[in-house]
Parts: sequence; structure tokens; C-alpha cells
Amino acid sequence: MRNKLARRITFSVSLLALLASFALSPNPNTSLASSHREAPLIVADPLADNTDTYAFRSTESGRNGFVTLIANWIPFQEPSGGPHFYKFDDTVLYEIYVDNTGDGVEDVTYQFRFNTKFTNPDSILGMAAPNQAVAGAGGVEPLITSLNDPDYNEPQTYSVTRIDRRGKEVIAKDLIVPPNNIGERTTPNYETALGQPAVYSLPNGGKVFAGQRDEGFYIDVGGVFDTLKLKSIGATDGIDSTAGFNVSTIAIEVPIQELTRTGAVPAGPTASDAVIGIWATSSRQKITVLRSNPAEKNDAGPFQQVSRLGSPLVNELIIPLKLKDSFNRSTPEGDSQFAPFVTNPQLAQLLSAVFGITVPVAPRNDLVAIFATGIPVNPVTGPNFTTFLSDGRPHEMLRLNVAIAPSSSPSRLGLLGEDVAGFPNGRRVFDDVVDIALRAVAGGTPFTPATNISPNNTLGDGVANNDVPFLTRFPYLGVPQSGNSTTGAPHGHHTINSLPALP
Amino acid sequence: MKLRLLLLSVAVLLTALFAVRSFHNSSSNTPTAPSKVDQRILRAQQSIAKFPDKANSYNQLASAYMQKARETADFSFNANADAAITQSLALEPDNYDGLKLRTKLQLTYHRFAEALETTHHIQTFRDDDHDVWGQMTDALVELGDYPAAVKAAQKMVDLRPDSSAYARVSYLRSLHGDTQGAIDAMTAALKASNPNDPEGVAWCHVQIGNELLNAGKLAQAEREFDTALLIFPNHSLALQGKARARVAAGDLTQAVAIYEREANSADAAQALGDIYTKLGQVNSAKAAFQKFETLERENAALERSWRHMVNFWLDHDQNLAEALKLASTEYESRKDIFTCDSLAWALYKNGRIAEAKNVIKEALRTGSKDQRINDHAIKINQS
Repeated sequence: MRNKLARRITFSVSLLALLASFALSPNPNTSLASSHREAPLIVADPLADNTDTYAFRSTESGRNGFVTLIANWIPFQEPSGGPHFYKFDDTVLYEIYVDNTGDGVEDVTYQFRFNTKFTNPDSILGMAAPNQAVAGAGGVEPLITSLNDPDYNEPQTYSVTRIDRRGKEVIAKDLIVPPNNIGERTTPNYETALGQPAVYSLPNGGKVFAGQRDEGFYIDVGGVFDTLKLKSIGATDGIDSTAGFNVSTIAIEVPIQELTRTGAVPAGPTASDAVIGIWATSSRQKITVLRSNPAEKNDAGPFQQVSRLGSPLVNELIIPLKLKDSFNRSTPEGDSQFAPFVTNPQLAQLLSAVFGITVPVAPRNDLVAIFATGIPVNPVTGPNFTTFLSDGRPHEMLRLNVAIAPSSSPSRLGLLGEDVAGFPNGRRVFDDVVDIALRAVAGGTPFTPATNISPNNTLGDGVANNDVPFLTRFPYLGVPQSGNSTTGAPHGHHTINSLPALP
Repeated sequence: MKLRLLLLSVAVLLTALFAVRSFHNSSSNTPTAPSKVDQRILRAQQSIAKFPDKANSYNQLASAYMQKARETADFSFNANADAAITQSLALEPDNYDGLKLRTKLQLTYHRFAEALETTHHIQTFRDDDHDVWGQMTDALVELGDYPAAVKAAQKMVDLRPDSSAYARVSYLRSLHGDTQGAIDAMTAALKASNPNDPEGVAWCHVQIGNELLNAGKLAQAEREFDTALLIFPNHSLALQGKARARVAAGDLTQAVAIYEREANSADAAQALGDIYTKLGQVNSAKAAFQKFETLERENAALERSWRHMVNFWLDHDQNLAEALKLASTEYESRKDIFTCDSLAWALYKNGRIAEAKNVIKEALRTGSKDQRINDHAIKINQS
């Protein structure tokens, strides 16, 4: 849903509300008219909704030769959302793709499939149930103290499959997704007892995690969607609208050479194998409306991609509402069809109108470079920087130069903050992609010197960091909000007046 | 030990119920919250004042009024929506969102042929919109063009398999007599439903429960209704499902209690009348049936369908000539199996057996396992 909120940046007020009516309205109350069965027509599909994709060189100590890929789904999780809480969808195929040749076709794929078991299928209690106490093992609980605790009544496990041109291999299976952070009584010492133990080692030396995390994306949704009536265009005084919500995360860390075109660690940032493109998708199975053989039990057909996310805010900023579905089922290979929306984005016109500023004239080749081809070596960023990865055609992906080492003094503004290890070179969890994107679309960057002036290059939504600290270790996204917190800020009302230190 | 366990389970149950309740309250349905939809209406009106020549402002207003109609159960707001859409399409005749909203309203008003026409028009602009194929499916199902509906639904599911597409597959399978297939598809719809939308999740459970109930799987069906009620307390369709399950189990007392809570439902009133009749409580039955007629007359006007009323009259041997007239008129405009059944039954009750035998064949053409249709077929064909 957050994704859908963010998508509305591009549209005028009236269209915003129209979309809101589709995406956010409660279902029609089916009891109103009479007995007939009206199925809801336009429904949100958060279980298959990609919200954010991250890719960066691992910054955790001792992980120098690794890249971390993170993809999030199921936005706006209410921490107290019991009794079943939030789980990955066993019927969805979750994937993270890597292109290392620039043709917009995946060369390395990581697939994640989930399977929920029921410790006690007769319990109606959902994720946590007092199975031990009922079995006579004592205790007044459901109390989940470990991933294998019998009171974890709906444990979800998953497998990881890696696909490349050589073939397909299951690299891990029967890994456990931790329960949601239900609260101190049910899931005490959450991160120590459940979160961290759910980080598994992979045979290639990497790591994997799937489970709930604090929502790390931060934005003043109200300001951005009130036709950019931002409470502040500086770094502070906005409201972190996603504060207090959780999200479902899949994070995988792999050795650099597992992702590159050559299968080796690149010699340097301008080596031909240094840049990779990353995007995440979700797919659901088609079914045949009328089964030829009704006795057939399993009628699930081939997977159809229903959601796609590479660079942040592209789906939201660039792609018109009408084409969302089409974009979400497409692959980066055929992105030429969407190129006109990059070269002349509606958001630029809106920024110009609202702030009375001059923006670069179309065609916006600066934006094409950032979002669709990668930034070639150029005088502004110097001889040792590039994110260029393209066969000459536009492909929307999150591009990461894996030969650029993590920064010792990171900036939330990434490249705009002269930090070459940050967005749009990959994306770290703390990168302030909203501010960066607003400035980039307004032309407030060194790539368009004529418009690299205030306020174009100082735009922001007034929110410069997350409400919860990020971790300095894998999976980097913060500890999920407790469902029974007495200290947490109510979400949506979190004014960020100070800039906490970056990890 | 047992007592402790009992206390424990009560405590846990209360916790769970509390969790459910807070989950529910956190949704946007909270009645005490300031009305978001009224704010939307106001914003749309402001937008119209500012940009009177923009279709989108009117689309926004129409959309907000349709939402208001759903939230307040006041159907009349749809007329405001209709006026706004007319204005929108006058300003920009082929504006895409306006046309989609027009279709939505036409379906709401049960103007199925017109809705179908609008979807055909929309598809001259683009034919890969999942939602439009869904609207087309709904119109075709109601008009009784099942082969075309199956094709449209297949297109919908192929473009974007999601909860709303799976739900339509489920209904089409049910109409074609594939009960297990309907349950499988609705289970897929349930799994794909939005966990932040408890009403939507409950709705899927109710549909599964209804299929199970029709298949005679009482206990399983009741479990689905109970789950729906746990997720969304007082869900009207879930309560009525639960009541039907109680009737089937012979527990008329609880069924009556549930139906009596559903004071504004014509279906509930009719079911109550049937139960009181069975119990020999003639006066109560009469009152319930009178209430049914009052409520159903309102529904019939809104839905442009007299089928429920006609069926009631036929079942009670009342107004047989008028029933036949209304059933014939409805059959002129739609040939769905339930309309065909209604006409066949009306012909039979009016002694026109040969014609009834022809028309009931149309009601049987999809192989639906609908009890009413199949019972009528037996009676008509035996006479």
C-alpha cells in the first residue's frame, strides 16, 4: 500500500483521489443491497506487492567480499495485527533477479518459496498458541522462545533456489521464518531469540534471512501527496508516515563473484564486469477458469509476474497509472515502451508548477542515465565511477557497481552527498531516496548545472532518517516494532526533528 | 489441572478476541472516525471549483460518492455519482477513468447490457486492463452469456492472477457445477487476499462456507462462517451463512436468534418466515413474510430485478399471473440460469408445462448444482 501511496506522486490532486478510491477504499459492504454475491473488483494485493529493493556492498565487519540484496513486501503492517499476523504467501513466487550483461534479462535468479505448517491445526489462535501448556508441559503461555518452539503455531519455512545459465539449484531449504514481533510476553527478547537466529549461512559463504522487519523506507506521505505541499523542504520537520509499521523482508548476501558477468571479482570500478542490475518480482499462478477434468486436484498453472521493483520510486514517479499493471507484468528487457515517461516525467512539470522553479527541458537524458541505462563515466563523477550497464536500450533496474567499496563516511544523499557507494549506485537501507529523487527530477544535480541551484538542489520531504535504528549487521533493516509496545510512537505522527547518526 | 487449562484457554481466547477486535478497529471502517469520504467529496468539489473543465475532478467526485453509498448503505449517493460521471464524460467523452467508473456504476445499477457495451468501448483504447476484463466478466455472468464470461475471466486471470480474479473463477466454476473447483479457487482467492482488509478476508471464508454448505459438508461450512465472524464480527453474510448451517443442523433456535439480528435483510426475513412456518407459528411467519415483501420491494427497485419477489410469490402460490409477467419481462433482458429458472417455475405454476420444460433446460445448461434449479427441473419434468 505504501508503494501505492508513493505511486501517486505523479498525479494531480484529482487523479490522486481517484486512485485512492481504488487502492485504499474498504470493500463494498456486501450486505447492503441484498443477497447476491458481489466479489470485490479492485483489491490491493500486499502479499505480492514489492515495496522496496536494496543492493549494496556488505558493510558488516568481515564481509568485505559480499553483496547484500534485500527486497521487501507486504507494506503497512500493523504491529498488533493478530491473531494470524503477517506471513509470506505460500502461493506466491518471490524472486530477486540480477542482470550482469545489460540486456535487461536476468542472468542470476534467487527464488524463494514458502510453506506454512500448523503445529496444532485445530487451534484457531493463529501464529502463537499454548500448545505446550495444552499438552501438559506446563506454563501459562503461548511463549515463543526459539524458532523451533512448539508454541510457534504457524511456523513458516522456505527454500532458496539459485538459477543461472548453468542450471537450477536449491541452495537452502527448511529455513524458518521467525514469528512476527507479537509482544514481550509471547516473543520475548525478539531479536536475540528469534530475529538473529533466523539469519542462516549459505553454502557459498553468504547469508539469508526472511521475516518481519521495521519498515525502513521513510517519507512524509502527507506532504508529498498533498500536491507536494511539503511541511519542510529541508532535512527536518517532516512527518515519517511509515513510522510504526513493519514490513516483510527477504535478504540474501552472496559473494561478489557469484553475481558478475565473468564470475570473478572485478578488477576495478570501470571494469566491464563491475556493474550489475537488480530487481525483485512476485508472481502468482494462473488457473484455468473451467477445468477440463474437475477431478483434477491441483489446477495451478504457470506463474504470471504481478509486481516488479528495481529502482525506488520509478514505478511511482514515472509510470502513469494506466500502465501500472502493464509495467508490473513486464521485464526490464522491454522497457523501451516506457522510455517516454522517463524522458518527460509528469513529476518534473508538477515540481515546476508547485515551486515555480525552472526544471531541465525534455528529453531528460540525465534521468535516463540514472534510471534506465546507468551513469557512464563522466567528468562530474570522475574516472573511477560508473553505474552504466546497458546494451544501448533502456532497462529499469537498480544498478550497483560491485567494485566500489563501502563508504567510511556515508551520506544519506548518496551520490548527491558525494558518497559514491550510495544511491543511485545501488541503494543502502538508509539512503534518502525521496530527497534524492525529488532533486534529481527537479534537475538539482551536477548533471544539469543550469538547474543545480536552490531550491532545486535542496528539495526534500523533511524526513531524513528512519524512526528505528538500522542494524550494522545483516539483514541491516531494523528490529520490527513490537505488537504490544508501550513506548513506541504511534505511527504516522512521528516528527523527525533531529538527524540520528547513520549506521 | 483441567481447571487451570480451562482458565488458560479462556484467557488465550480473550487475548485472541481482543487482538481481532483491535485489528478490526484499526481498519478504516471505524464508525467514530471523522469521515474520510466526506473529506474526499469536499476536496473533489473544491477541485471542480478550481478546474471546472477537467473531467478528473468529476471522476474524483463520482468515486467519492460511490464510496459514500457503500459506507452508509444509502444507495441514493450513487445518483450523485452518476451525475458527476455524466459531467465528466461530457467534458472528455473518452476519458479512461471516467469510462471505468461509468461501467462500475452501470454494474451497481444492474444495467448489465449497458455495462457490457461500455467495457467493449473501453477496450477499443486498450485491451490489457485486468479490471475491465473483470467488469466484463461480471456483466456477462449476469446476462447469462457464460461462454463469453469464461473467456473474459480467463483473460483477467492471465493478465493478473489475484484475489479478485480467483474469486470470479470460483463463481464461474460453481455455476458450472464444479463445487470442489469453486472451493479451490476461492481458497486461492482467500490466500491472496489483503490481510489489512478483514472484511475481504471474511468474505472469502463466507463464499467457501456457502459452497461447502451446498455440498452438504455442514461442519466444515460452519467452521468457515465462524472463522469469518472471528475475523470480521457481525459480517452480515457470515451471520446468514451461520444461520443456514444451524438450520441444516436442526438448531432452529439459534438460527432464529441470528436471523432476528439481521433486521434489514430481506433474505433473513424470508428465512425466518420459513422457520416459523416449519414450527407452526403462523402469525410470526406471516409477519416475517410481510417484512420480507417490504424490504424486497425496495431491493427490487434498486436492483431492477423482481426475481426474489417472483420466486417468493411462486413458492407461496400468490400473484401467479403477475409473477409470470415479471419473470417474462426479466427474461427478455437477461438469460442467466437463475432468471431462466424463475421463468420456468412461473410457467409451471401457471400450468404452462410444455413451455416450462423448454425453459428449465436453459436453467440447467451450465450443469449448476443449485438446489432450487434442480428441484424445479425434477418437478417440471415429472409433470
